Amino acid sequence: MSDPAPTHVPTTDPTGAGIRVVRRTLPDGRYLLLYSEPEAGAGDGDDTESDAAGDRPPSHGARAASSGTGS
Amino acid sequence: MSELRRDPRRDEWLIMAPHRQDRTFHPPTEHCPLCPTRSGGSPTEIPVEDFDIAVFENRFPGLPRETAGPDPRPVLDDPTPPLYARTTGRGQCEVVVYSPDHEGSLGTLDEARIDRLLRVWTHRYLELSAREEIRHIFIFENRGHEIGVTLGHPHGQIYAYPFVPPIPAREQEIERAHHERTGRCLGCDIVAGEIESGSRVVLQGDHVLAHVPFAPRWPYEIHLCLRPHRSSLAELAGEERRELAAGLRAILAGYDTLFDAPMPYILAVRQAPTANSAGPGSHLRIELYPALRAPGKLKYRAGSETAMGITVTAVAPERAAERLREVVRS
Repeated sequence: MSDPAPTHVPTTDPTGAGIRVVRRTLPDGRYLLLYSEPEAGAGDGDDTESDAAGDRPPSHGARAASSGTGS
Repeated sequence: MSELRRDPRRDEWLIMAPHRQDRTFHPPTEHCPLCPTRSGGSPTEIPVEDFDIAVFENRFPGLPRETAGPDPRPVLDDPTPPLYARTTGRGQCEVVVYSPDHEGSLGTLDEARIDRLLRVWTHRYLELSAREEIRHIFIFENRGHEIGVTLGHPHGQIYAYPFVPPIPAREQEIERAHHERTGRCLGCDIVAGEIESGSRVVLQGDHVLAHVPFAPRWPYEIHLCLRPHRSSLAELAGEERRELAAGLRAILAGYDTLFDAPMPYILAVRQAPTANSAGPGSHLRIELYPALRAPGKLKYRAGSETAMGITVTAVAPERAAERLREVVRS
């Protein structure tokens, strides 16, 4: 399965949540958000956050997951 | 795909989502859709080799983000609805995957990861709040097949409704009335009352208080509250959030110790409906509804609970707090 790359390099997040997020779009158009600790030097995570704005188009050739979420 | 119908007897909106009958049901571990997509393995919902915490739109949403059909707002806001009001189901349903590890549970995650999860919840709350059609954001977790969980991988969910659901709507009315009468927040008064009484306190820190409610609906129910007034996760200071994470972890570990078995539970984050709608009484807390009343014995929502809304609880709240204090280690 191809691994969709994020469209945007994470930048400052105005939301104030203190978390880094990279946005991706799944082959069927749903969004996927991948969170991680803000990088060192970007603050202590309480008041400096990063975010990527916008989604990328669906990744052509990427297979849809064979099973969905039962939640 | 999804339809909202108003129950004319209760004036409540309900979700009809027949497509959810087809959702994934207890797949084998090697086909878990919440694991990372590993080289040579089955594709999953998360097409990366590894991740920390992931959020994605539910493949089987009760409330889809985009769907065919008219704007539901005029019907939802109609002050004189017809006998049978129905409209498009629209909102957001997200899945929050706590960890790439298939095993474990929220209570077995380390405090740093739970702290990150609280920040993820905060980000989702803020971002979904910015959508005009969203009126209430509900962050929750169902744990255990007894509760209806169909995937074992540690995860929770977020529902963003286009209306305020009946329970928080009723609580908002009561909170407003309390504030008008006393000038104080009901949640703040409850925290102060529980600290003063002490008999139902399970855990107390500088910033958080965990207590069994005065009138619980589940035998070992706990409310993990912020001691200072905070309307939502978005208002937490770093130290408060870290103590909330530690308290949550301690309580969930304690639940698993209580009957020496994984405790099925519902976790509900209770806060202002959206970041733009903090009223005078919204007081942030995490409510935990554990389903066991004794080893191997479930508390059922049976006739009186389901048909009448009246819970019969077989454990005295003060005795429940005593037992919980023995197993919840801060």
